[in-house]
Amino acid sequence: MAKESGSSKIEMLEISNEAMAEAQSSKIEMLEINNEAMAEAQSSKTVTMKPAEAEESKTETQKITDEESKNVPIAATEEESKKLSITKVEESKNAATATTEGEKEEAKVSLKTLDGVTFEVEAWIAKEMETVQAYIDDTSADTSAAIAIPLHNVAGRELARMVEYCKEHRRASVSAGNLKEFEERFAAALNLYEMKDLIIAANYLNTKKLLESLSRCIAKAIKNKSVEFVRDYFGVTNDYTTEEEAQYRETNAWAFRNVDEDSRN
Amino acid sequence: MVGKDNLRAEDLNLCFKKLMMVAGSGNSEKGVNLKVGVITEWKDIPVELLMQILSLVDDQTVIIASGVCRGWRDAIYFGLARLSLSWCSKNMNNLVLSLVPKFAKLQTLILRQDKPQLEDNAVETIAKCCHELQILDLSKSFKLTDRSLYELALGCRDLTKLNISGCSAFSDNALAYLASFCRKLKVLNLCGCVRAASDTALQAIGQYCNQLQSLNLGWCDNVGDVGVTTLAYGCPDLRIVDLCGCVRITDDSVIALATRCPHLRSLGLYYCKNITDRAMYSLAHSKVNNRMWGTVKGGGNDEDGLRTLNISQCTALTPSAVQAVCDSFPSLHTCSGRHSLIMSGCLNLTSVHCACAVHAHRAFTTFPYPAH
Repeated sequence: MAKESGSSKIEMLEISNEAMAEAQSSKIEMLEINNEAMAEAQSSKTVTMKPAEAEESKTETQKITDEESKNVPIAATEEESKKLSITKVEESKNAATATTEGEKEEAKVSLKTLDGVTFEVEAWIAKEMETVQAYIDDTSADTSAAIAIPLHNVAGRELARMVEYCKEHRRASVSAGNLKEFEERFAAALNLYEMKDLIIAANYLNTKKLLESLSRCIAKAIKNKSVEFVRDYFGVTNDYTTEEEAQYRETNAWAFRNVDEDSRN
Repeated sequence: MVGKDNLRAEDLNLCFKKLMMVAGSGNSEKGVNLKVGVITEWKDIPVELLMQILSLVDDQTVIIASGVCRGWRDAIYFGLARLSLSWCSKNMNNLVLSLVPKFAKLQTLILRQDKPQLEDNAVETIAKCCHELQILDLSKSFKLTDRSLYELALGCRDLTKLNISGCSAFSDNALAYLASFCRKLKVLNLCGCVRAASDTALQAIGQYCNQLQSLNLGWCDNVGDVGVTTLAYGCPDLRIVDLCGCVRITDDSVIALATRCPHLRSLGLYYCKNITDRAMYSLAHSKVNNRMWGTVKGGGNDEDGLRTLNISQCTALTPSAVQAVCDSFPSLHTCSGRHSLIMSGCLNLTSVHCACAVHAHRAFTTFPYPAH
């Protein structure tokens, strides 16, 4: 049988957020044409988000915003908006760069996130995510190029951050000093909940460098801190009884001696 | 091919739609929780992720983390594999008694102390609770008696690395008993265990611990040729042997090590005053023999060969014998900055040099030729 090749048109929509004063909404179309020397006929497939799905994404985004606004103080929201705006600008630049690089390199991988956004990433970035790489290895070569890989547990925001990390990490790894500076800057830009979502996504996709970097940051944050601080930091509910906790403290009294005084409530 | 593509695409679409339906129903049930099946709270992070974070903090913070909630306590108690309490300047014994029973999966336990605190009941607790222990450091535990060794022999048979240097109260019968049970030992530090490290104990180690690679017998002045020879015959994988201060050994010990341990790379003979040229020549010749045998077997290993040799205070040695050792083992260096052949106090060995000196000499002699 003769092979049939198709051209697919994929739209990536970035939905602007009302809470972000300086947010920019941009619509990026990436057109990818597969060239086959032996192609006899071409059939085109168009993949577009249905209006219902688009509305659903908006609804989800709005709810996510509501959830965030509950957890973050109002004063911090503006700063966060600025950071997110900067991130958006950087993402746009990265997307443009990716487009340019995409024209040179033919190897691309499509990743579809939980909230329906499809990302086109270079093969070397997909290789960093060992879960994705394992999926590609298990799939036959001719089909993996055409179908977006579904990531059921990863949201678009986390995946964008992971892709950004991989690119900057490669750029910065020329010198150890730059690398350390980059990792500190990357972590400082994240609030607690963003850190949590990102490390869980990195754990799921098995992106080892990012996972180790974030683990180090969190370990540093809780070192020499009190139990109450760690509970608040992670948002964990104390399910010990009063007697259990008293007994625990008595048995391990030695561990509470050098705790930072500032971390006590 | 077309059909295959369509089927695969349809399967993926179906999976995705099902997921969206689940998410949708989640939205309708709980207005707040947006992602059903997706982790939304830190306390629900995977156990391996929590353990990865905690592996980067000190042990004190680990204990504090176990006080956060029951789930974390259970995860920590089950997942912790390495624990060091060397920082504890008081109450180490009580600490071991209260903590160790909770860490059933411990594989590495470091209890090195500068002030003797550890008692037999702590080691007994370790032996009864941590059956998967592989690495144990009990350095300088002067208070421990043979009871500890007997308990360890029965409870921790997977030990691969044991450091009891400075535990001067142990006897050789207890050490022999432990050797007969802990047969996977690879690294054993008996430095300063004068009573424990005797020929009786070494014979047991040579008989049972055939995988031994590293042995420190520093300042065990009861060690004699019988013990070291049996050791050499029973442990062919030995790489690092420290006999510093074993004043009773003679050339026979070194000859046995040279002929029976082809992977030997580090040998300490500091203050072994009975060592003569016969030992040095056997070391030099062992390389030749190993090379021949290696050729016969089809693969001589160039990695083998002495890299460190300490013959300080071995005043009976002559330059020609030591030079023969240097010529056989290019990794032994006498030049400054790379001292791997240590011969302090051997005033008659000043002419011994390594291969680097020979090259330098040749380079110097070739210089005058262009002048002609």
